[in-house]
Amino acid sequence: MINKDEVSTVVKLARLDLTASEVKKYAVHLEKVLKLFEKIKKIKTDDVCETSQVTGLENVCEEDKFYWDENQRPKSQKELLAGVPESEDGLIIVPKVIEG
Amino acid sequence: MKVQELTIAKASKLLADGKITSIELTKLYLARIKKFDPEINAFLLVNEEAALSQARESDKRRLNNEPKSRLDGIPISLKDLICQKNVKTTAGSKILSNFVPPYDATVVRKIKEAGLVILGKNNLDAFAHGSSTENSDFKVTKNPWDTSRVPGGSSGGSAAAVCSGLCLGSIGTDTGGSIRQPASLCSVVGLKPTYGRVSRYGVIAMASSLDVVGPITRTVEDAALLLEVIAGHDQLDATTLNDPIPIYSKEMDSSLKGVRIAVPKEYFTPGMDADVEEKITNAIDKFKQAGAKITEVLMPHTAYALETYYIIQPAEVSSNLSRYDGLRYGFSVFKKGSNQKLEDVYFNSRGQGFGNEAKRRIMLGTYVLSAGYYDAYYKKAMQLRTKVKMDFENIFRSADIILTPVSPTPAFKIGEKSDDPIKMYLSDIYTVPINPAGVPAISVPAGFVKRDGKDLPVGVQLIAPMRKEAGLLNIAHQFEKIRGFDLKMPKINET
Repeated sequence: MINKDEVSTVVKLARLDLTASEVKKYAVHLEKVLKLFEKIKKIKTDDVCETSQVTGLENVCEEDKFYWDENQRPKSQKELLAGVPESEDGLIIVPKVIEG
Repeated sequence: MKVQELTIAKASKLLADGKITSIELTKLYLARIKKFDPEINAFLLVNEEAALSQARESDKRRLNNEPKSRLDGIPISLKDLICQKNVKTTAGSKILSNFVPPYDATVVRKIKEAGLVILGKNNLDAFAHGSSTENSDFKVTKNPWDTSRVPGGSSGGSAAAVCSGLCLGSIGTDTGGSIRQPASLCSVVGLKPTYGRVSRYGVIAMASSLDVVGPITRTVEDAALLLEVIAGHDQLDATTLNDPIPIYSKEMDSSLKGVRIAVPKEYFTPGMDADVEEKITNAIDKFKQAGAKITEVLMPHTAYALETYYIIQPAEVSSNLSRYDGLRYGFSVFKKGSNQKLEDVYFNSRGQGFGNEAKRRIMLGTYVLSAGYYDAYYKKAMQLRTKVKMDFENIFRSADIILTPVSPTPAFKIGEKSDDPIKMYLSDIYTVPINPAGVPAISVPAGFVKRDGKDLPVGVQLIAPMRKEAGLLNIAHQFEKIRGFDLKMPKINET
């Protein structure tokens, strides 16, 4: 049902670096889970609306105003960037995005 | 003061009457954590200094007759999926093992504004993916009733901590049963509020259309008290409901006479243990004796609810977890000045940072959303979600409450299901249909069954229509009064 190539495609789409044994393991798991889903494929749902949310809230807008609880505002740029893996002079360092 | 008898309601009365101080309470629970948690593993982090200082501040306020709320000074804990400013928040995952949020989740802000003391952060399945807390990247929490068994999950650390008296309550999250199932397996109360009742701002996202935040406590009254603190509209979460929040704990006096309870046939499947079913039947009998009207009903789409959930949930998981790119926060293989390629940083940071179950769900979610499969899986599941939701709406036209089991079995052994994702997913079969429908539900202790000579808890699930937490809490509270046993606490080996 799901072959190794398909798993490799999914792995690529998901941006995951997996070992060969991981790919093998997850292929088995995916196969099992997809088998579980087989029975719902047969149900006719042509005229059924899709539900993506349950509260029925629509067009939720807020005033066009910057909202910050003053107690919550980070006191410095340093505090805000504390979790960034690599930074310099208050900037986030990333690998080269466009190859020259 | 006996920990076995303490609840949030009782402790807050003792605090108000000046019979106890927050510092005494906080020290009591910190000491119990030191003594028992090495055995249970309910906490990932204990913030002793901060908790003591919050308790001291609370006592000052009480002394000046200026408590911030009724619960000022009550020590609780948080599932480690909830961001607390300047306190490490890991989601139980290696990829966030050093993440220190620069802000509070709205629930944390509200808890602080009400003056509660935060003892620490509870263990969970990484990113809340699981039903046993075995998927934590750090440690396995044990069920305090039998330490060879799981506490349930994903809020397993929270449920284990509350049931063994390591805190008075905890805030958990529930995407498919993650509050209710561990509550059932540990003999505590777990409330999943209506979707949108409690802000998700600052709560690390699992599946955004299903995630809710709610309390895990020893009693229904305590759940009501904590819900009063955390519920409400939030400018920072556009999906929150803009309803006034009642004082739930003061609306729990109506009798069960004439309450219409629906019992869906589909929730009593052959996979359920006979003695678990007996406890649920006993609970139904108790309701009947108290004057409730019980009707057996059909919810035909229950049969597809598990599949619907296990498509929608991983789809949203794969999307939510795409933010972990190794660049902005979390685990990264990137070193500045190196020649690493962008793609390699993505692939390797994610490959090394995510645990087993997160990878599995990312892949499943990516698959069901990918071109060629979208209609067959994701779209189909969204349509079936409508059907599942309609089942609930139909029943609630002529019923006040739906009563079901929470879990087909009591707590299972550690390791028993960890290698078989299907087995693990099936343990959620009675809790997952509720989240796609968005309705509120609660797990209340309903008794104990024996396994290997040990008492293991069984909970009953009560489900109410959208936005009807007040009625749900009242009925659950009335059930507590008639169920026929008192609060117990497991015996835990000291270390």
